[in-house]
Amino acid sequence: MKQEENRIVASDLTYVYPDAHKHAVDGVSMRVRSGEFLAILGHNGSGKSTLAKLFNALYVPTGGTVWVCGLDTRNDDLVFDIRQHAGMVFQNPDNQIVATVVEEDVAFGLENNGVPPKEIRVRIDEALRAVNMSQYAQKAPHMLSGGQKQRVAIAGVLAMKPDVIILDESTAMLDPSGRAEVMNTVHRLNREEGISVVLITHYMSEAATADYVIVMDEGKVALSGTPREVFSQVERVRALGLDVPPMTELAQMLRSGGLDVRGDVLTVDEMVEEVCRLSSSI
Amino acid sequence: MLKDITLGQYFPGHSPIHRMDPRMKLILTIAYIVGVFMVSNLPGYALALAFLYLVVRLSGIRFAYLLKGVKPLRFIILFTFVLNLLFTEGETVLFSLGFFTLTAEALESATFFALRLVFLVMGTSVLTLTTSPVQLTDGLERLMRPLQRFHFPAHELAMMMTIALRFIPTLLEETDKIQKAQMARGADFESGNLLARAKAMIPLLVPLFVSAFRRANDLAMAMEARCYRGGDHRTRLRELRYTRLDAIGALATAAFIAVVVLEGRLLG
Repeated sequence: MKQEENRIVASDLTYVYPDAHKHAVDGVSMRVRSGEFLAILGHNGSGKSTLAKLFNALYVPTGGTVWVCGLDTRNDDLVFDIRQHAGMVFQNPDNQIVATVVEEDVAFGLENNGVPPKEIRVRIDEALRAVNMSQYAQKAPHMLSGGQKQRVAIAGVLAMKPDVIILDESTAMLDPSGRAEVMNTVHRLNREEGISVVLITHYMSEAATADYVIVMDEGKVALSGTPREVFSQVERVRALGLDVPPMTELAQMLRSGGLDVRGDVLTVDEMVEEVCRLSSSI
Repeated sequence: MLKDITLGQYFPGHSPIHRMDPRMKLILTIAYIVGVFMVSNLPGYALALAFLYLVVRLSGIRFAYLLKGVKPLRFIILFTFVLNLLFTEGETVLFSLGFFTLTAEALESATFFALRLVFLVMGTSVLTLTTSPVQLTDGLERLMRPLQRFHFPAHELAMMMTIALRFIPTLLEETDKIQKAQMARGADFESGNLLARAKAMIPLLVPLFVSAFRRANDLAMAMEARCYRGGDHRTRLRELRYTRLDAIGALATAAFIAVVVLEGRLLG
């Protein structure tokens, strides 16, 4: 496989937690292409968060291999390079901010990597601008809202100039407006900066905006494909303990009511289109 | 509310004192306290007060605010004063009542001791009022760095202080939340004797500790994900640099100590 096109490649990946008998991740093979927006879905305990931590060399695979930008995560010497290539944003906004001032926190990763102070200054200013948090540079993190804290965390990752950003349920603890803030930021970075995104989530509406979706179950890949391909299999998705996006569900209900709408509707706009088409044909 | 507690009572500003290097401020504060302890007569204390007043005026902080900082310590100061009064031996008897005799020497030593405490508190207050906690931990880390050669964990200590400062507001907020949640379930934190009230704290402290450990776990993971590997080869966003202000401050403090020593010699 050509490494320039694939940011992350996992091959037959297995992970067992110490003291556990069950495989948290069990024979997963997948890849994240350059510039791709990938969503990983799955109910609690399906192994999706474990998978994320394997991508960042926080966990070392029990079996199989992960290459991040061509670097094998089992190699101890490469750990810090890998973490620079694949930045990670976690779930709890309060528990991942280290410093008492926003800009100092954004600088944290760069300081760890021994970047010269002048360069740090330039990069944190850029990163804060990219997430629209420049005016909060001198604020204390506990004065910010959840969405703002997550954007600071994204800036901290962005300052390291990563190829991939992994969001491990980063919107799970936010209110709807905070979630929208974070999702808009991530989509913009994906589109404008060409940064690949791995979004781990259990919000179907967020997954619907991805290029590609992987559904995890019992540590294995249960379903994969474009959001349209995945969510049109409503029964399969339900059987895996997940919902389908609200509009897909509505389309499904309309169909079972005898209306001829497409079954793979994902967004409100598409639904509007379908309904208009239907009403004009009546 | 619990959240309103300020720590170190930093007074933001751009005065020459604020802009001095935190390392220099730490050193000069210690030097000033040493100077105050060398003072042995009243004119010397007047000098110390004048010097402190000058520094406070330069920093833009109200002198009355500084005096307020001494107020919580008034009992300790009074206690040491009385103790010194009672137990210092002397010959010049001023006043005698039963087995209690007040001597001039005792009065002098007690007054000096109390004054030293007051100056100690005020001197360090100037430091914490004009230096943000971040700068203070930064300054401490740099000052202690030479000790790392003897395996003294200077970086780790500074990192711990930073994280503690970062999490104090978060944990206070959480305490508030847990307290309200437990009160909603009928917990009573306010009535009863000391023992009952201490017992009532258990349903507050246990969840707080559990959560603090979970936070520590999460934070460790997040720090690792951001390439944290201890203090070696680490750079800092803000580099500390000595400027002319620091030189002026050092000279002024040196002059103060020199005058105090000379004055002590001359007036005996």
